[in-house]
Amino acid sequence: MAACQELSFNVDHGYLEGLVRGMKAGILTQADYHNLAQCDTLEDMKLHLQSTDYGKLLSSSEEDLSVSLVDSKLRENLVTEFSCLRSNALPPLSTFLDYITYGYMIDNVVMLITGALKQRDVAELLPRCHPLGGFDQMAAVGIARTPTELYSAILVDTPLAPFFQDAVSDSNLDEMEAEILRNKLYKAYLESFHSFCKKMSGATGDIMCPVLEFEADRRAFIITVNSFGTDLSGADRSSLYPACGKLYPDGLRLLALAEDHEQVKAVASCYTDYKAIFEDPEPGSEFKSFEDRFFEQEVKLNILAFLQQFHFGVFYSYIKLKEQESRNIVWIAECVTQRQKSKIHNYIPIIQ
Amino acid sequence: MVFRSEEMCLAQLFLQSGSEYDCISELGELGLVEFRDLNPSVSSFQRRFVSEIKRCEEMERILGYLLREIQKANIAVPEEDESPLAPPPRQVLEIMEQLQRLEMELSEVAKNKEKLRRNLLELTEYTHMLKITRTFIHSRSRHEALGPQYEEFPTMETDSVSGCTGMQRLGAKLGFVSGLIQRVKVEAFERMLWRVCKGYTILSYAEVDENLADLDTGEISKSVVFLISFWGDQIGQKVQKICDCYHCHLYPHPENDEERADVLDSLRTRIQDLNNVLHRTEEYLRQVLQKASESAYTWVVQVKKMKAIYHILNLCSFDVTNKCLIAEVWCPVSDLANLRGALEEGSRKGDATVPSFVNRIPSNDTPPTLLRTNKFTSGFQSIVEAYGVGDYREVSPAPYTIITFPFLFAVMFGDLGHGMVISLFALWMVLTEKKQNKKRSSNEIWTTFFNGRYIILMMGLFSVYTGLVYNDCFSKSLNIFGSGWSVKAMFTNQNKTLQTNALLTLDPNFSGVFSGPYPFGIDPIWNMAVNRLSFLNSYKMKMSVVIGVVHMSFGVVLSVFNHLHFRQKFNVFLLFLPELLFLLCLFGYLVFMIFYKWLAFGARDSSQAPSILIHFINMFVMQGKDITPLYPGQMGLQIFLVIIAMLSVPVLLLGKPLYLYWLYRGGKGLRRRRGYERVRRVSEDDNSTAPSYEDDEEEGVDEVTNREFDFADVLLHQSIHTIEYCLGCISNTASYLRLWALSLAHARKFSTNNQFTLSFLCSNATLC
Repeated sequence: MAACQELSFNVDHGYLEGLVRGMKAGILTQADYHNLAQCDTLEDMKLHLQSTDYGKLLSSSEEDLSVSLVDSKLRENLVTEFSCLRSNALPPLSTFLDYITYGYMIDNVVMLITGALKQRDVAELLPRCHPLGGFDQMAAVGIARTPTELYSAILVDTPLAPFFQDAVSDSNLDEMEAEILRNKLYKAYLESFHSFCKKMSGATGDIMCPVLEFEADRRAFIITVNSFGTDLSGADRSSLYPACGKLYPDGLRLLALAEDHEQVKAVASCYTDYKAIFEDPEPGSEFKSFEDRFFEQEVKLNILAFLQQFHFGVFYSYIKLKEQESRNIVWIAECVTQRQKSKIHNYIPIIQ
Repeated sequence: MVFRSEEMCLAQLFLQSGSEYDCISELGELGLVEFRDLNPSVSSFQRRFVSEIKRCEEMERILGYLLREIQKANIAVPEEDESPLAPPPRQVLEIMEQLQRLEMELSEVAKNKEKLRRNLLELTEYTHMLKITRTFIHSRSRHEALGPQYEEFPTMETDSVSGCTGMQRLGAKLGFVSGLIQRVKVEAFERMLWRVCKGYTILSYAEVDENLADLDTGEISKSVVFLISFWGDQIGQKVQKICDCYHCHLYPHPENDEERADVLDSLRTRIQDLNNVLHRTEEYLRQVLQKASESAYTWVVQVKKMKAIYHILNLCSFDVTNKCLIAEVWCPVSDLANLRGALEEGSRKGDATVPSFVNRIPSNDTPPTLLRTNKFTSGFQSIVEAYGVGDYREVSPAPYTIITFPFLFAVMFGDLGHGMVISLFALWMVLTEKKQNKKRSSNEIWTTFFNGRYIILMMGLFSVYTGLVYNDCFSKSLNIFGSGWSVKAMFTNQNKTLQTNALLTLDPNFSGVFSGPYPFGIDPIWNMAVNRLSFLNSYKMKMSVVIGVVHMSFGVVLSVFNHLHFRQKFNVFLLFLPELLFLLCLFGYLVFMIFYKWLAFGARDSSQAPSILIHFINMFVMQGKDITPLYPGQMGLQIFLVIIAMLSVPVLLLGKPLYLYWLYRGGKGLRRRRGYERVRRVSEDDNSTAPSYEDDEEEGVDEVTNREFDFADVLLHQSIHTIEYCLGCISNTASYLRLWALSLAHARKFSTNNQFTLSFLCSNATLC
């Protein structure tokens, strides 16, 4: 049946695909952003968001509006939508959706570890975790002292367990170690997700693989850039690079050898996709950090996923786009409250 | 119901500041006008009355909260018959204040109640825990294992058996943690405890018999009481953390039995106290809500109206010099006086020094279509609107729908009995409509029926009529006037056929057998005829084609009124005539043939009656010299008709575009000269429905070519129209056959139904 997956796709996943496409139509457009950027207060933003698909989201709360409230409401909204999708999903879509949450779980685990190292109370940390990556054992993460303990005592029951294969070590968890742990987990996660998508026949693999490859390469670049000035050696670094991207294997080898920003740029210039990201901004145009440009590129890739039908990529892309939208709204809200009108246009438009 | 949509005019309202709110409120109550947005470029949050709208939204939020609470307390909100007027602006603050006070009070009481409830739950949980953990301790002292124990450490099990005293003797500090956890989490909790503490703990647990509500969410679920015994502080801390992680509710574990009894005692009294207080709080809350519920409905309506008024005010533009708001509205011409009256009333209410006034302004925009309806016609109007809303001043098809729609239904549903049932049901709805309206049922299916009650009534009445025509009552025939057929005449000559045949053909040629047609409808004798079905088939099929062609021609004729009204006489020649010719030459001729066959062939020569279908097909292929013609000169006439029909298609397709193009190229100078004259005349003769000028063709064209003339566009439109029309004629004629099919299906279904039930009853009767 693998050959005619398109024929039977709608039997199991047609409803959800329709749903997610409908929700995608509610993503804010350039005109909405333009209006939002004109707002003077958060109240104005609330009024404008009322006319979009967000509806009464912000107006139903009794508390005064603040940026953090906006952020949490938007996140809540995303989680509601996601859980609606997840609870209606049938395999293999349910596995696919679970894979999306693993990334958030990794982030949560690392955040809890660093929090525990700083002697923060768990109750204070938990609300800051991304609810998409929530799991039962979350609060107990702080107990662990070493990655091995973390694995064998707490995370062995969670879906994160398979990603621990390379990450198990007995060195004490400090901040550096937590960061390394995050990257190792992420590497394992991305590679596993990538191979999962590749195994899926039909358009899912075609759509998802480039997105995940991009994600892998972005992590590789960011690890490299962030490691400058720390005592992370090139060899250590190369063990953190996810080996499923376009950079693999030659680009990653070169990245491991890179010593400064210029050399990273030289590596990027070999790849047409990444060349533009590291290029110097044209004089006169606004300065954008390369992270922002990565986001821009990611948005472009995710929009492409909606051009094809009968695949799971739309779910991943929708979540990512919605996340980007939340970031944009929060950015604008931040600018509005801090009266930084000049920077307000630094959001990343999603639909032109 | 009117022939055309209402005549509208654009009017400017000058609303003096101070009284604008009252004026709009007054207009809103009447529902006379449609406002135009005068500041479309201003985004919604930059308009003038945003702060007022925000205030209304705040009130709506509080009201929503209030209504939710009222609903939670199961208090009915009394609804009033009349909807209250929008409150004057002065009163708004008062309402706002009242609402805020209520909200404060409510939230405080609710918070208190929540706290008490939580407290009560905690205490109940604590009692359950104490009761159950006692059984743990006791059962252990009797060397009975309760709950899962870790087999790998049998020595520890025996240690714990002797309780705390035994451990103290050993010098190690034994700690207890006890509490409640949700049933679903127990297994994961146990596993994690085992992994983290490497088995240096003992967990025993038992399910609570009662379902307890969750402290935070209020969800009712099964919980489990557990008791962990552990050694050492290090492990203790870990246990504590794991308990936190699984959201366990921990309670202090008593040292010995006496303490346990004490605690249980004190808990009992405290629970009793709490129950008392909780009860009183609930009563108070109910009182507050009861009071709020009395005016809740009024508030909801008032706030809604207020918000609508401010939304309308946001559409107006502000005149700085005159200190007044200017609104532009579409208003029916006949209602201008009412509009003025409403504004006067509004200014009087608002205590304005200068009254607000109306100013009619000329406009080139197409006004909105307004069709006034009443409760009888609104259903039919909505059926029409499901297909599309006509242009301004176009002929409205709704009045004819009142007859055609129920009639076409009845043709399919023709049965006296069933029609009676339907009309009685509809009649009941109509008679009790006031009561039903008040109920405001939210049942979607019921409201569909209820809103269409007059349609259903008409459908029922028409079904009664067609049922009489078909002579069908619950698919049995009524013999009211006595059948026109009699078999008696055939008996006289004693022929053998009567005795030898079970079936007998009544021969109308035999004198005396057929004494004349049945006075009304179909002769009941057909009910027993074997060839009843083929007779009805032929009859109903022909009837539906006749009805269909008449119906379609009527629609085409209606378009003439539009062409004349919009002074586009050329449309009559270039659209209407070819359309009508096409329809009549083909299908009109078919109708003619049907009637001709009915009239020309009697009982005597019925065996020579030709098949109309063959003749109709032959007409298209222009053959058929080998069959006898219906009448002399049939071939020539048919060829002539087909040629006319075929010729009208290119006229329909190309006539209008070419004519318009020709006018556009050649009629320019002509039009300019007459420009002034035209404007004057139009304003003079605004009300004349079908004026005929000698030069009205140019005038109509004028309106068309005033806009940019795009030949390709017009041609495209016309070709689409042509294709649609020609195909529509053919497919619609075929579609009208559905009248026959469904009517047949209806009759057959019920007659078989009758047969089945009757035979079933009979067999039952014989069995008994």
